[in-house]
Amino acid sequence: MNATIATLLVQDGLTSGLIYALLAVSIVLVFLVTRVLWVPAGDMVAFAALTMSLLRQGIAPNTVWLLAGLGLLAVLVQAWRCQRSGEWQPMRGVLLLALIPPVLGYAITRSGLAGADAPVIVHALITLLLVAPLAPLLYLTAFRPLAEASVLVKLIAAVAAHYMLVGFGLFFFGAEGLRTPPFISGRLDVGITTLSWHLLLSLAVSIAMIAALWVFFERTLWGKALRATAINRFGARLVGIRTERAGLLAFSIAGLIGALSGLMIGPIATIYYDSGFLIGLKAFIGVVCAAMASFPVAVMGALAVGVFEAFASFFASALKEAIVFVLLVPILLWRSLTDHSLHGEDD
Amino acid sequence: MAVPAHRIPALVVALLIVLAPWMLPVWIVTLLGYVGLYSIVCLGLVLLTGMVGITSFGQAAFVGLGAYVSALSIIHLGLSPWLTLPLSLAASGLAGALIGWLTIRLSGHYLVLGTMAWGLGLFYLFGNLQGLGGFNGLSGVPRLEAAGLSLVEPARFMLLVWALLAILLAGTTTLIDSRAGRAIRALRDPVMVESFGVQSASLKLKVFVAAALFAGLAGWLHAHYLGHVSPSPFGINASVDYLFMAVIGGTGSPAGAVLGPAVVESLRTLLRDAVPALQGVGGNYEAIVFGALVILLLQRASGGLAPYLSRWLPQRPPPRAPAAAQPLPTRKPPSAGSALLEVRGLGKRFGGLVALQGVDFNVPAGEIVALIGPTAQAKARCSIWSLVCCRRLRARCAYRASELTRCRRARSLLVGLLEPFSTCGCAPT
Amino acid sequence: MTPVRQLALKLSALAVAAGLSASVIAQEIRIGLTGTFTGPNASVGIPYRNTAEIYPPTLGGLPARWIVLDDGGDPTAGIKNARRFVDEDKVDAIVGSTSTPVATAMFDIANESRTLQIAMAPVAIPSGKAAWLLNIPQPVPLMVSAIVDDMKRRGIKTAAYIGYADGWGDLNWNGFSKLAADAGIKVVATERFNRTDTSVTAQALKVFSASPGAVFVGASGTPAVLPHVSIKDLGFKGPIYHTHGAVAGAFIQSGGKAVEGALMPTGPLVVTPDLPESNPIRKVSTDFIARYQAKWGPGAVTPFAGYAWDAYLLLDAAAAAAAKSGAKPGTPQFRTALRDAMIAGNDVVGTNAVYRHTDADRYGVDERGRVLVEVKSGAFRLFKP
Repeated sequence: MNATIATLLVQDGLTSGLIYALLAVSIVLVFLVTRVLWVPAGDMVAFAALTMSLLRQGIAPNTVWLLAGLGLLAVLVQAWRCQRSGEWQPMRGVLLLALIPPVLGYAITRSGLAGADAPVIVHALITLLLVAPLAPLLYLTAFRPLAEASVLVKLIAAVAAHYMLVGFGLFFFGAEGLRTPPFISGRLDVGITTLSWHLLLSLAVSIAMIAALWVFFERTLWGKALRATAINRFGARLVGIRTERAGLLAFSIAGLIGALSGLMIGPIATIYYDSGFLIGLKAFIGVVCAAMASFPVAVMGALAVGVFEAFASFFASALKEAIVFVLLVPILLWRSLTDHSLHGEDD
Repeated sequence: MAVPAHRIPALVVALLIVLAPWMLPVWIVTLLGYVGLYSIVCLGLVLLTGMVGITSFGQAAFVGLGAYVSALSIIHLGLSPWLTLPLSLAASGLAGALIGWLTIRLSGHYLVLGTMAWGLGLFYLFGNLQGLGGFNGLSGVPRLEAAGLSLVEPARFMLLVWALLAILLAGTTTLIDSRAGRAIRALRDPVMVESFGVQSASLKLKVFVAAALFAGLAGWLHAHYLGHVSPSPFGINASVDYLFMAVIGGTGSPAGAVLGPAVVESLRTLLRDAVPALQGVGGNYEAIVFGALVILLLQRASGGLAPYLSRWLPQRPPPRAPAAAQPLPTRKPPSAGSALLEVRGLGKRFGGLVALQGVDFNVPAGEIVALIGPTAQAKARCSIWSLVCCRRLRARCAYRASELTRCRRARSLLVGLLEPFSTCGCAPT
Repeated sequence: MTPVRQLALKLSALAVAAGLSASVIAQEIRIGLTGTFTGPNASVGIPYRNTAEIYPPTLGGLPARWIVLDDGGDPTAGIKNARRFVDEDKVDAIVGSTSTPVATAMFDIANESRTLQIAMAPVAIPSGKAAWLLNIPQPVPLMVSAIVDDMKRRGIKTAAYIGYADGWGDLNWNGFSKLAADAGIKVVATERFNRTDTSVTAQALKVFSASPGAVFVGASGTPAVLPHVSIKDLGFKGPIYHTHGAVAGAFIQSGGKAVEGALMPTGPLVVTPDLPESNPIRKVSTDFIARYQAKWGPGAVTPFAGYAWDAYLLLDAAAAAAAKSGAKPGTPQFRTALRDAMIAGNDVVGTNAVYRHTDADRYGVDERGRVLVEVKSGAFRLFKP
């Protein structure tokens, strides 16, 4: 172990840590607003990476059918709710969300505009179009009806949703692992060490995403509405915030973040249909460090997990997963004892 | 001897199981064997998740522990298979006690994540520690033999598993109806339960260990039926499987522990074999179907399938308290006027705001003492419950001339202090 | 008709049908095939299943039925499949599995039930358990010797190994370390990784910093790309060898340009056009490739598809001999006759080797079944130094 190796390991850790950090942000957001532990976060990443990989090879991905199917289900569920409540106005938004992405995605991918030699940015946008709406559609079909249930019931539902996504992943992408050709290959020599261009790109994208989120939460009305819902759901309803709309928004952001992370991880790792779970779980460790409440701490925690994992695999490559997960227990213990929102003090 | 009506379905099932090897084809008998095995684990989950409310994503790790301990002790210590049963149980029980002690301290979603964490940790340990055979696992675990008959055939193994399951079911049902069972079922509300004198933490731990023991037994059976232990059936996927089976069957009753695996395994076999053309090509239909089923059940029928079934079956008569019951023993009341409760130096701060400082008072026996104060906060702090945590509040309290130092509601009750509830709520009937 | 009588009628109809089908079934040979068609090693297993779909309907002149199941790379699932073959389907032989850990786990069942198991992945057959086992793919030491020979030819003195943290990685490591020691090559770094890992940078760093002359990647299929690419990214210039489990289309597809120049030993099937006309394997391979491509389209045929065909060829020859002995399929006598015919020591020309299995040699493969290939211009070509 010398300085060169250490810097390279830190870089490797940061590259995967950035993915974990973005996912951690999405998990915290969804949890704060809807109290759902967003276990399928990793599957969004896997789906996006695999979709992008297929697009780069010039193959039209079949996930557009999953999108269409989920959209249809969401429309049916919404229709049933509207029929019960008598209000048909919310139907419009759901119809738009459910129908536009699959139709548009189908049209573009089958039209030849998105062949193997189209620019990367076109493929990236199509991937976002095909994968990001999965999250809000899942919210509409699976999680919104459980809005009043306990956190644990929502967690079991989230795990079930994750299983379904893994099953669909195998169906649509096959059992093979896929890699995306790097967006920018090579390394940049900064004198004391070399930095890979991909790391710099990921860094840029992550910072842009986090900055956009910050602006959203601080400066826009809906961002503040989301924060209000996160702090106190009932209070937010009292001041006129539609909490279900907030939940939909939170899931949409989570879907976008997941898809973006998937684009970032595609070039650096071979992704299989079931790689998402472990990625999501490591993001969870960062989330737990933050007691599910604080974005900056979640990001720090996730980055730390990435770096720790890189060093652990250097020293004991076989045991690295065991170490990472067993270490989660003391963190959980610490957080559980200090998280005041869980123990109602008898005031 | 008249058989009570509500016991008939169980007897019918038992009869069918016993006759199955002669009546049904081999594949159904094999299926029943696996259903029985999973039911043992799910029974532990019914106790843990259904009664106590601890959602555990790590039961498969205990199954693995039981299996590995048995295999290792046969390979390295040369013990006979039946002798490794107490070893497997001891190992999973001990691990359950240790891990449970840690896990019980977590609350809410942290607890669930904790179960995931050690479930995964143990899985990777199984796969990576030297001497455990790595991810290939250990082969050559000998078969069980009873009275010279090898128990490896599906029919015999199935009968063994269901015999054990029947014993466990009978035990669990008895437990649920007993006093301890009522305490377990009430554990979801720790305040109430402790006010009745139940030590909730240690009871939770006992249930956790029981679930771990069930899982260890299933692991021992698993190892000796397949003759091979490898980490893959003990990973997080298996834990989720067990939990899903329990949820689908219904975690509210032991019947759900049998119904769940039966439904899931039958559906799985159907999906795998009745759709042969799509087998492997389409891939994991099971995952999709079961995920959808679980979500649907959670939305519509969170009690699982068992309550639907029990509607068609004869109901058991409601339990009756015995006509002539002994009153509970009372303790000798203190003499009037003697010092009952003495408090010195009670104080409470909220950050920079001091609500109470330097409060001293006595409550002699036989007298009613009223506390008057400017704020509700201050008075609440003087409540009996707070007094039991005197050490935390940096005060000195003595009850009946002995120091109160432990912050345990249950202990306070044992000592004789009763807390009146200051809030009321509605309980659904 | 009362419900009870209806039920009785249905049950007896079932019984009659079962009895009838049982008597029909007794005449056909049943073979159970279990392979890894999902999971990280599916790229190795799926070609087997593709070949199974073009199997002719007879074996040795008798009608044959193949029951194909997926084990997902999980030894427990493999055992469950094997038990089902033995208990329910009453097969005459088990072919499988296509991944080493699963195949190893099935040995006990084959021996207990006295059913021949033809393993389709290179396994280490323990001496006490060989009675009912047979192996088709070339054994690891034979293949690794091709690698070590090439290293010797290049004058390489130091090497590093990075392989799976499981049975396949262990097999290759054991073979390599022994042969390298015999050849005077020093192993300067050994690393392990999991098939499902998303990053092996740390292990690649350790290997690279030891400055070996060559690297041997003990993996298979798509996961083998990751260490190759990681080590090359760090600037490694020496030759990178792989096992014969990496010879899959998915390897080239996944690795792209980055895996050009990768060297690996394999059976002659992959480079059939490069073989001399005098090689008897060439004729069998060409015939098989034609059949395979007729069903599955043009494109390179992997050696794994060839192993599956070789299993058919071997069973065909053995079944003919077993049928001559008068035993009926589905009986223990037939299973014994089948096994004995397989180890009789006759030469059977396959697509990947010329096989001669005997009681002593359950692998049955020699140097005729081994060539060194390299990845050139996106395809596997015979390596000419």
